[in-house]
Amino acid sequence: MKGGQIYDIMALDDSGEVTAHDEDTLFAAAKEEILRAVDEFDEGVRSNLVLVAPPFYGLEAFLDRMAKGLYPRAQPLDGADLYRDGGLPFESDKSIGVISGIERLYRRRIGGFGAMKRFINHVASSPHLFIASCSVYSWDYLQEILPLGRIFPRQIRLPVLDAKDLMEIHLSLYGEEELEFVIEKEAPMRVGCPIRLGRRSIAIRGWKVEVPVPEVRIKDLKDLRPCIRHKTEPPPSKRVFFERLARISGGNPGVAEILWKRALEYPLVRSETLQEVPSIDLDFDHSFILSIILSKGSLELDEIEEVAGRSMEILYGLQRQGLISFDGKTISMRPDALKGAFDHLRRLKLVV
Amino acid sequence: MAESLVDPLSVLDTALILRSAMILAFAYILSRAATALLARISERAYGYRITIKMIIPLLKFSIYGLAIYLILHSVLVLSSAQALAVSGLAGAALGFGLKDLVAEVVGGIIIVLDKPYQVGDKVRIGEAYGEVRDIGLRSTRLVTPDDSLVSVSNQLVLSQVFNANAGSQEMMVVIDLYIDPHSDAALARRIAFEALVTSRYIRLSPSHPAKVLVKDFPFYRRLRAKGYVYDLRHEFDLETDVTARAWLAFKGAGIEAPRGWAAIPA
Repeated sequence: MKGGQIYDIMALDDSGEVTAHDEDTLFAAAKEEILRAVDEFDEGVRSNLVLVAPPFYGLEAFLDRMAKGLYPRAQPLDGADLYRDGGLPFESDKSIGVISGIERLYRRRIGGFGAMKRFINHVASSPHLFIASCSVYSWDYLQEILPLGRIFPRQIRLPVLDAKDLMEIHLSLYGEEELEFVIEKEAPMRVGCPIRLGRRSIAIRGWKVEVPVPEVRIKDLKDLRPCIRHKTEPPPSKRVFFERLARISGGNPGVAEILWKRALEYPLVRSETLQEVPSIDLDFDHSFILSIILSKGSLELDEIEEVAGRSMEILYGLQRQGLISFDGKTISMRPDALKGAFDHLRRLKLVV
Repeated sequence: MAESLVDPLSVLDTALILRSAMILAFAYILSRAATALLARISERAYGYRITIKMIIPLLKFSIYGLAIYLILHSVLVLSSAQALAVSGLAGAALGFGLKDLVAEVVGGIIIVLDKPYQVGDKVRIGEAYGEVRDIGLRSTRLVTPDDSLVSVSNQLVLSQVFNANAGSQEMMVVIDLYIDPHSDAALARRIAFEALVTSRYIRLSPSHPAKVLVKDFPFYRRLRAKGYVYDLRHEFDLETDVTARAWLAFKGAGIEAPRGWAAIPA
């Protein structure tokens, strides 16, 4: 393989979020594809590549490691910095641009796509190879508006992980019986009868008569589901933990990592820290702003104001529901709320 | 021969009439209850609203059909002679007075079977435009944009239906913006497109694209923005949002309304 030394990414272990071992599982295919793109570039075929994944997946750290691995040919760039510079990437002797977070190059308002358009023009006409990452929610939106797919013909969507994958990643550093999984019993669920008798008054010739009317409670119908699926044999606690981790994290390894750290009290792993976000009930304006935050993972307050006007009371409402968090003027999705938020927004068709 | 001359009215007694009335009343209550229940469920199951509402007319027709069947076959227990006599009476009634009613009911059956529209669709039937709220035996009820409830005879379905969304929750909305013919068309088109795709009401996906078309007329230039609203109930919200934001940007970019038109307020 060309440049065996400079592509030795695994040797460049540092304190990044994504460990070398995680890369084996998570980014093996992506890494292979990037190296293939670089090889082809060296042979004269330029085929830009983009990695697409939900926020918190760990793409930034991975790309950072890739840029270091491709040193000195590669220049790491940040989408937010490019936006400030007007969307024009480097003009230097580096032949590979590794751009983290190209979703930062647009804002969802009239005139908010200038930087992204300049970036597209630059990439299309540049002799350099570009390797980029993008939030999947922004990517799907931008694909309908701009010819991003044409300038990034190689697109890699990172997969959703299941319980087995997560178990493999998180238990690889521990011995077989080193950790003890403490599964708290699920709170006894109050399952009400889904059909109840309500009362309605009906006016008949001036007389009001109260009649019983059957009413179906949707919530109770939902609560019945786990009862129907209930199994008599309790599954092993380790499996229960990772199944719950996979469900709550939506198979997102970055979110799973955060939840894992929260649950780990060595040598105990406590499942009680894995709490599902209760079903989200938001009006349209709240949902729209949530979709803007979700599309980028985190963003500045001024961007939200540019897109949706003054929205402090809406942001406060989202924070109160445990969906977002504030850090100064930066507003971020809460990792553990990511899946619930996505499910809610997909139901409303505000994300593809 | 004597059997065929039996007076069908002679077999009707009070108990029979009461039983028939009870079946009809039960069918009515059942139909109303089922409709209310499904309507409620459909509003909660957001993404499947129209799919669930599609079931309502089918269910209502089934309930009433079953009720009529029960009355004719279980309660009246018609012999061949009685059936002949009843059909004769029915034929006469249809010929004279109930022609329109039957045409409406037949129209209702066609709506259920052929589905030119469903509950939840946005349709224009004759002069009326709005969201289909209910498909009854005789008529279809629409809620117009100004929140009026309009009943349209089911007879009209055979000739005068324009369905805007055909069972889907998304619906294409066409927004026309008229500008001065000397304005920069490319810039105006870009602004109109961005106003459309950045609207909070837009639905964008590979099967729901957005587009802006430009056409010149003698004294003005028309920008026609076409995009899908994510929920047909926001049809006018999308139209208003795009128009208002586009004109704000037009003013900033020096794009003007056709001369002689009312000034655009700041």
